[in-house]
Amino acid sequence: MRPWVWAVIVFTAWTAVKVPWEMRLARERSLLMYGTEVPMTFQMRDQLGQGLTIAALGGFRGIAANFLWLSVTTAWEDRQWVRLRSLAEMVVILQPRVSFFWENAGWHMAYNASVAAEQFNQEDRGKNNVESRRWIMQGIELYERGIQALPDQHKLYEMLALVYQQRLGDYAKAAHYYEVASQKNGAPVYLERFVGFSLEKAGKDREAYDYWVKLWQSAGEHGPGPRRWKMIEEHIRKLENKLNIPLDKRLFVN
Amino acid sequence: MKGSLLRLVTIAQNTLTEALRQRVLNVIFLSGLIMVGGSFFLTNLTFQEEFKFLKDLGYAAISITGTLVALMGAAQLIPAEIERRTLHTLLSKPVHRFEFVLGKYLGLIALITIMLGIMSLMFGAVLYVKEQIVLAGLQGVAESEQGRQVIASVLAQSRDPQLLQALALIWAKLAVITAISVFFSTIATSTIFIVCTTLVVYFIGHLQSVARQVWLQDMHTASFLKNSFLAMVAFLIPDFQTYNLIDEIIAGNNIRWGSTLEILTYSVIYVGVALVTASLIFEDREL
Amino acid sequence: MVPIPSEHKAVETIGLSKKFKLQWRRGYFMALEPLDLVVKQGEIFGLLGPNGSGKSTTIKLLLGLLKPSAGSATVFGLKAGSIEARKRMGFLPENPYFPTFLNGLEVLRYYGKLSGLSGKFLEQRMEELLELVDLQESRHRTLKTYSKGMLQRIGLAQALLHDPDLLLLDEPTAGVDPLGSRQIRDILLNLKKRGKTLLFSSHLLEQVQEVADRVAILHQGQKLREGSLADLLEVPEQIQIKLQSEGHTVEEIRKILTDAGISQVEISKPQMKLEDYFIRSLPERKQGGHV
Repeated sequence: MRPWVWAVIVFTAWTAVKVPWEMRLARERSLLMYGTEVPMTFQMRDQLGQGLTIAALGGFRGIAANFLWLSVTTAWEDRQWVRLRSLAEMVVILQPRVSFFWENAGWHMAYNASVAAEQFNQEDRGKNNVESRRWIMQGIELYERGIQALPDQHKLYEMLALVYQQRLGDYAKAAHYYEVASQKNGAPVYLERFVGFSLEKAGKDREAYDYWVKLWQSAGEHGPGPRRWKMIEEHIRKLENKLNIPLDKRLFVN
Repeated sequence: MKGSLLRLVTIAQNTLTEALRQRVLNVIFLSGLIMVGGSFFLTNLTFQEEFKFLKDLGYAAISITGTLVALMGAAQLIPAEIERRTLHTLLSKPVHRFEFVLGKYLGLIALITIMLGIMSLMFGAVLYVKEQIVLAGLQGVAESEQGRQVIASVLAQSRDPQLLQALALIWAKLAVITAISVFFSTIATSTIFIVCTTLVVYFIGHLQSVARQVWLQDMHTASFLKNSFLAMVAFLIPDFQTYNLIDEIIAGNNIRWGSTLEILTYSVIYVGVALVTASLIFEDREL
Repeated sequence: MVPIPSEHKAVETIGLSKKFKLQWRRGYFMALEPLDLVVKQGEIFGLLGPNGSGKSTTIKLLLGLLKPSAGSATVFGLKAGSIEARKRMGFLPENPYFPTFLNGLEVLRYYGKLSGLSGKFLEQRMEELLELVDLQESRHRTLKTYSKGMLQRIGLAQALLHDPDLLLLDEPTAGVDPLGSRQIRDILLNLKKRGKTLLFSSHLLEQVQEVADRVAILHQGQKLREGSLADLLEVPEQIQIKLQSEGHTVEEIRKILTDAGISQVEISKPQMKLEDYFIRSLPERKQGGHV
């Protein structure tokens, strides 16, 4: 048989293996990147246009996202919040698995844009507040979408908690997200204390007390260290007194 | 077997020597080094942005340089031998045609590996210097818990061992592109034709997964022409989106070595098939 | 004609032909009509013909660079173009088709390794051949700086590295000056003395005449003639006599011959060849030096 015929046979045999293998690799990649098997390619095409899609799908999404992010920074400096929002949207679509983009996009919305809206027109405070809240909700939406893309990272939960705490005064929700954040791998130790603080601030003393006790009992030793057991003991004692916990049920009697 | 190995190594060495003495390839390499080194001078960014930018730019520079070298190298080295007829002298020796194709490929991939190695070292040096600068700026807050967190974050970004996986993936992608370029150079004589066809495969390869998806989803409803075209793309062109795990690694997300090794295996087999096909076609070629 | 035993055949072609397909469905071009050829071991065989006669095509078919359209060719009984056959062949291409970015030493080392040589033996062979072709002083210069004659000589050296039994030379002296041609020719004759078989193509007929034992004449892909030079070039019904006479004039000699009944006597002074005259005119140093 002529060599070129063998060439066709070899390549055809390979294609029979290649296509299923690539499908499997694509499935794994989708699950890893998006948490679902459906790729985002169509969504990207709609939002970004043909040219950018080619570049985006050309393996240089990182570079494209980075240069768009520079524009986000410029928009921030120019206080062009609507433009910043649409640029940030493109960036997080290009690289949904980069936590930094979600964190900062949400921060720009929930803090910078919303504060700018509050200060925009001193005469119509009501309208300002509505506008400001709208930006805060945009920030929350970004954090929630970021959490969908990166469910295992603590940072976005932490920032979501901060927004509820600092911008909306919703300490109960803040406590919930601090708790979720504290349970993720690599979460800083102080987050577990923020849960208790937030519950107290939300007026949920009983829940706060139960939480502090559970935290205290989760460790065998309570010496000095980053977990600040002394501070936790003070909060437990304070709540035991406030809630009139029976002496025999208290953790700290004297 | 030993003789074949000696011939392969001889041709590979000669290819590497020729490539190293070519100005075009040296200019491309130098540009790549400048890109990597130049990324150091990104300023007015937070350290998180800096490291991400550095890594993205560094890997993009390595990827672009490697791709250009693969294109220009294969497009020049093999057709040039045929055009100058140095191939006649070479094949008058007891050299199998497949040894010529494989030797050329090995020489080119050796060149790309060397360039990748040097650029990676430079990239590592840039990262290290940036890390030291950032850490020096954090001296004041090193004692606080948050400060320690930040320092840990800096080190995690600058000393991420997964960056080696990213390098391996880039190398694998370049190996496939080079093999495709070598394949085209065994069936064509025009350098421009080889460069253009390889570039077309490169671009379509990044959209291959989309074509495959559409073909599989619309198979029963689409026209015969559309089905045939999409099927052809799915079967003939490699899926370069496979290597997008590099973005994940740069983003700091955890990628198992198992996934990387599977992609490396896929790449090596693809290269093997491309070279075997190229050798078989070259066997029949009149010189 | 006495058939040649197969063990004495260095090259044999039986009906060897080659046609090339023309582009745009314009049919075929017959580069070589069916060719029957035998080159005996130990002889120098010349393939003659104008440009486009099929000489290079024949050589390429023997090397396996082209596949025959029909017929067969063997080299020492082995299929022409096979690895085994090529182990016993050396090839000097028409133009210097060598990697010009290498120097003399590197190019020999490169081809030596491809021929299966290595280590000290290869280095030794390289030294021997550089001396043979008189290129020791130019060994470290890149081939880009070599003259045409030097390139031909380094080409000869690479063809001889693995001591092949059959040497194929495509226009070995084309574009080379008389001194260089003489040097190459002397090397070829020396190789013949050592029992090597040489097959070379040329359109420089005078040079072929000096070295070849047998020739074949090709024209537009067809073999017109084949045979030993002595047989082919013999002028029928004429005898050439060279004599040295002291005391007889030219006219006296003519009268002796015509009285003996010999008609059509042509008497002239023998002439040396222009090449010999040219070489002798050069200073002694140049005659033995390199081009």
